[in-house]
Amino acid sequence: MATPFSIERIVIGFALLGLGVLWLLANAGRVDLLSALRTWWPTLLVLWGALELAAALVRPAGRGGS
Amino acid sequence: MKASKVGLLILVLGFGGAIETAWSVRQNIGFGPQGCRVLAGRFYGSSFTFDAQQIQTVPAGTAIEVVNAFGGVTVRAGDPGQVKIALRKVVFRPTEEQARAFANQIRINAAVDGKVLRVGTNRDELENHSEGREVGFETHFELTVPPATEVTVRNEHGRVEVADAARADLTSSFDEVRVARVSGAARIQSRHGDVLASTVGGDLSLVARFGRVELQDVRGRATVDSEHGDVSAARAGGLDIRASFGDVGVEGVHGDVVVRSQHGPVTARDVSGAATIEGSFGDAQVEKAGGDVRITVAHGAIDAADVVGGVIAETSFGDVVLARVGGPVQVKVVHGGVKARALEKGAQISASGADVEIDGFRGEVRVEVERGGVSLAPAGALTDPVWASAAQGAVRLEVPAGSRFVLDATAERGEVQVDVPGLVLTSTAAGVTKGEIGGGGSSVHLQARHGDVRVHAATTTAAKNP
Repeated sequence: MATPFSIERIVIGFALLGLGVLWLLANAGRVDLLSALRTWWPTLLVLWGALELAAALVRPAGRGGS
Repeated sequence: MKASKVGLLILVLGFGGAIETAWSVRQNIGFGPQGCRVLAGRFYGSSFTFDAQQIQTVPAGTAIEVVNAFGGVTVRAGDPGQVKIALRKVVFRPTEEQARAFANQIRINAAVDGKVLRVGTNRDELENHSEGREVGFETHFELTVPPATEVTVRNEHGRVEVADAARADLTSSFDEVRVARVSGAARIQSRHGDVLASTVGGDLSLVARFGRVELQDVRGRATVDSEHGDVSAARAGGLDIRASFGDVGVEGVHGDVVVRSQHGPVTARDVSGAATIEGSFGDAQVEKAGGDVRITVAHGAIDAADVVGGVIAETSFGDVVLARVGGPVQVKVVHGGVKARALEKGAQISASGADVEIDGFRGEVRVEVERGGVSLAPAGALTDPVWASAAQGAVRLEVPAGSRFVLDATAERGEVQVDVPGLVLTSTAAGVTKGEIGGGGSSVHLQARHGDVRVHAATTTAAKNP
């Protein structure tokens, strides 16, 4: 049986992925971790909002919840 | 909303808050040999002040050049033949003994080099020293120089004040610059600080960034290049201002004024010569100009009053208001209307989006309006040609007594109403009326494409030219 679609999991997944990549780049001396995190952390909210919108648009009428 | 979403939202916002806090902390806390310092920097904590003085004999006509950083520079006129140099040293150290030991290393460097006395400190030498790199110290100069001395100051992070000099060439940053009573030319460059210049006998050249500029009583021509700060100028012998992100105010100029401004309003009053204003995203206003006025604005209104010469005005997304203009008028407005009073030498006006009203005009008038009406009221008997066209609006003309012209009025999808005693209609067809008054004369052509044309007698002419 397939796992139900969960926006929260996608957001957490992207967050972990982004954090890991930034951390790696910081350890490699390519970016300033704190500066990069400060600049880009609001994209989590943007991504989440976009996913919620997409889910609301494709959700069949009359069905609520996520 | 599910509890998991609420939890995740709190988690994300908490994460963001932690990042912002960490960033803020990193910007304001430093670690060094003195331990941990909140609001990190060398200029922090206990400080002690020590004074030093030096008197330098100089030949007549010797110029002064002061180079300094992290401290103010004040230059004033004193006795001839000598320069008194007072240096106030402020040293940031935990104890007075430590501060005094360091202050004793700070020296005044003063040497005559040709016709210039160069004054400074050994800051560079100290800052290359291991201890000097970590110690914050300010050096404040107060110089008393012979009268009519040419002064040059290169300063950073300190206030600069020069008074009673023959010439002034000043460069400063991160604090205020004040110049007063300079008999010759003055040149000022300032960053991150206000500039106040008064009573300059020659030309003034000023470049300012991130600070207010205030000029008064500049006998020569003043050239100002300002960004991120307001500019005000009073009583100058001509002005050339380039400004962005700030208000510009000009008053009492004996000569021409040129202002190029972006993202800020411009006001010019009492200009004896011509006024040229190019602006964007701000209104432009000219009041009392002795010459021609040319104003070009994008996204702003234009207001010009009491202009001896002509007016050329172009704008978008704003209205044009004119009053008491002695010369010919040319106006082009996109998305705005025109209100004009007392135009002495006619007007050519093109507008769209709002009405054009001219109350009290003489000379030839030509008006073309899109999405708006036209209202014309001559100042006296109408004898000059008039051409007015309105799309999506009415055309209205007042006819004073004694007028002489040939009327040609057309109203497409409207009607022509003529109510003028003595105006003889020679032709009346559907939407087209022709006639003449006073035996005929110049052509008065009125056209409304989606509105009426109304021609009626003026009720009174006394109020048309206040």
